[in-house]
Amino acid sequence: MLLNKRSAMSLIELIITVMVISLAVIPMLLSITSTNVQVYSMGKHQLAALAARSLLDRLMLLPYEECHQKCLEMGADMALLADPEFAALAGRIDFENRDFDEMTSRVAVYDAANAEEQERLFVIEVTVSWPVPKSYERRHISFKTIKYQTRI
Amino acid sequence: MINKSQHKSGSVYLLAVGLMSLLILLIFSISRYSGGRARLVSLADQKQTALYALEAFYGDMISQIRVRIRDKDEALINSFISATEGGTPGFSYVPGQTLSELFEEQQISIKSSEMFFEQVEPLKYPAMVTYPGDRPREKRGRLCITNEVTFLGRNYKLTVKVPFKTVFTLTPVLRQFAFFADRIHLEQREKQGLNDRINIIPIEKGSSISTSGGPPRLPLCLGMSIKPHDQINSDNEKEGYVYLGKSDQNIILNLAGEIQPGEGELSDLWQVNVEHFKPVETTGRSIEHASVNTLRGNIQNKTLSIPLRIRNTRANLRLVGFCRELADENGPWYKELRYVLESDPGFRKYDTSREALSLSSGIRILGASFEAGAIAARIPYPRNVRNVFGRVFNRFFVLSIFDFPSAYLNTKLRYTSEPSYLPPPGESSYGDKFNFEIESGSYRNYMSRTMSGNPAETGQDFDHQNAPANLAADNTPKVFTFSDFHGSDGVTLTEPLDRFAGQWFFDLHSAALKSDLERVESSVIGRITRVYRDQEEFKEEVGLADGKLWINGVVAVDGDLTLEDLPPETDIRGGIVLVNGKITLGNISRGLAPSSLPPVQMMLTRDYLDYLRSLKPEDILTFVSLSGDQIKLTDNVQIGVHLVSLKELEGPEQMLTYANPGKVLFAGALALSTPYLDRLTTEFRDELPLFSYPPEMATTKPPLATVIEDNLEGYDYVVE
Repeated sequence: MLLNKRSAMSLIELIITVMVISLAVIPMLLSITSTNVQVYSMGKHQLAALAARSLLDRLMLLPYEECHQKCLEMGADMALLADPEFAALAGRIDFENRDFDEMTSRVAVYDAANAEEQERLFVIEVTVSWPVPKSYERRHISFKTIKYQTRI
Repeated sequence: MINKSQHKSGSVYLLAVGLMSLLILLIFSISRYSGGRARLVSLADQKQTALYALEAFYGDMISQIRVRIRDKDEALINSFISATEGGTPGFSYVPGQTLSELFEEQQISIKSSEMFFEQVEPLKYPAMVTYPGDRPREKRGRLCITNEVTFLGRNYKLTVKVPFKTVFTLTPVLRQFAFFADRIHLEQREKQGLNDRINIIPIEKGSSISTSGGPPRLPLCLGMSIKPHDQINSDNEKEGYVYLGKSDQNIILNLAGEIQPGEGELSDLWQVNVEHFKPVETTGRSIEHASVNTLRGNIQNKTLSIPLRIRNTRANLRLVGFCRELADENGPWYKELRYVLESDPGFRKYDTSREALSLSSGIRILGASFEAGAIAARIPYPRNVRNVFGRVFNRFFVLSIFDFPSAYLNTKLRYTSEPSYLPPPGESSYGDKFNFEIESGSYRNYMSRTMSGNPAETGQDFDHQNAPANLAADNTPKVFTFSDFHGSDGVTLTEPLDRFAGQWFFDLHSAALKSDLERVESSVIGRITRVYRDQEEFKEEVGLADGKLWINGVVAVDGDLTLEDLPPETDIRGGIVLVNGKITLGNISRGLAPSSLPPVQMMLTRDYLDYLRSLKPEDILTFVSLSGDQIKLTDNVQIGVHLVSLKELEGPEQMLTYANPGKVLFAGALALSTPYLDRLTTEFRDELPLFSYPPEMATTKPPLATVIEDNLEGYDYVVE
């Protein structure tokens, strides 16, 4: 009988085993969750970079004056999808628009460094930001370049 | 049993450890994936940041080059003009302040920068144009720019190839012509009568008169400069050539007559040169004003008096031009002419249309007469000449008399078609007889006749009855063909001038261009440096709103172009504007102050001649209607403008029109297939119009514009 009793795990042993495994698994699961969030965020970052590049490239293709005017118009934060051109573009790669729906863009224009250059160039900076899930924090990415007047 | 229970307990632990190991492996791999992805994302951002920096970098270089070209940096411009494979632009690049600050902010450092020319090749010409090998050529090529930067430990390199062109801003060949009408023969389907729509200006007392009750027609007057005797017929390219085509068609211009020298501004007989009477020996002789008693009293007649072999005998060749006085049956010439030219077919044609004897040419290729009044005293005779291309002949009459002045011989020398004819001896009023014995030429060179009555019938360009309007360098009348054309830039031609437009200009959407790249490259289309979608884009880009009109190259406007009056102070930089449609222009006065003088009289003033000379070739605006549409001028002062509208035609079209008939002042050049003189001459009012040629349009060094194009022909981005 004694032998029979010893052959099974006691309740205490079982509880301890479950507790040990739980202590080890829970942080691991948390870590997995965290990694998933990080990966998700990377995806957002990539999409935001894509959006910023797309916006900046489109602006750079415009004639000088038109580009300057458009940049000024886009100076405030605005939802990416409020831009019909971008919405059409995004529609082709994100059918439900879920990836971009909370992204915003802002275009900043900086004058050239001196008067001579101000006649023929300005600096454009495009910033795209997106919210961090379950947080009030927003992340952003920006690209900056110079727009030159070609009709000199 | 103990072993068995221990084995069971160990299995649980083993299972737990295994499970944990799997979880750890899972986390490790997810972590690696996440980390790798993060690194990739980071690299992509850096790569993009570096790319934008590199694009800003080459943009700064191109921008600086453009600024220097705009500011006429000779060294840089010449380096493009003389660009060779592997050569470098003539300037030292220093990064602009804005670019430097951007790089500093982004912690980007410049590693290397290189710029050189590649694929440089001369632009081609049509087969009929021979361009000299020792002159600067129009070119196209690419500026290869390779920039390398370092950003966060990595090197990034961008190579771009930026196309450029160096093109003439004046149209080759055409720029040499003050007036070029390659189909004007369509306005003269017959050489005399109702279908002669070139000779349409009725003349009386040396001026145009109205025969319809309305305002009189005024001829298109091409201005001429005034030169000292010893410089006449030299540097003719600076007067601007004239071409009246087609090249195989005769164009006859009636010279306006006069009763008294200097009567009116339209008398043309001063254009007749003693050389028109070769082979008669005329060395040292000139055409002078001689008094003649006529039924209408004493008149002054331009006369070439040639001594004959018998002492004191002379042949007096009186010149008679087209005017009402000639057409008048009771006028000073008609009856006499009808008698002496009875068998001259050139004159007999007027028997049924005598009024046509009053009509002179609607175009004055040598300008107005300046013999009138006090001016006559200042202006040497004969006047200056210009080169006239095409089979252009002057029509006038010669009324010849065999004379012995002191014996009142006055024997009329009648027309004959017989080559060996000799007139009977002349008899003086005293009964003495004098033989007509000549030193040079034949009787036909002395007799009365119609000059250029109908050159097509004779087969010879210059003989006793044909008077080409053009004089060769030795002053011999000569029909100039394409082979006589020598552009001041050394260009020569291998085909008639009337074929030039067909090989040079094409509609922008021409089907012929799509299938023939050679045509594109060898025509003006291959020289286009910028295309504007419409005139609004053109006006914006050339700076009209800023008081500028900067062409600087060969630009094309797809559609019509209308330019209102340009403010006098408009900053103009010349070039060629190809318009795929209609052209409408207002005033382009370039600040020329209005003058109270009649336009043609301005050619006599030093101020205006100096002003003409001051018009630089690089400032001349050339407007070309590629579709050959009518060019409309809504106002009447255009300075430094070359207007071109050429196309194949079946009948004449008015390719230039003045919307507000009035006093016209034009400085530049016209190239119109048909000006349609019949209509155009009704649009000049108040004063004779002046179309003057800026001498610098004939420069030996036509201006070349260097244009960096907007597009790229190569793009290579490398991350090392």
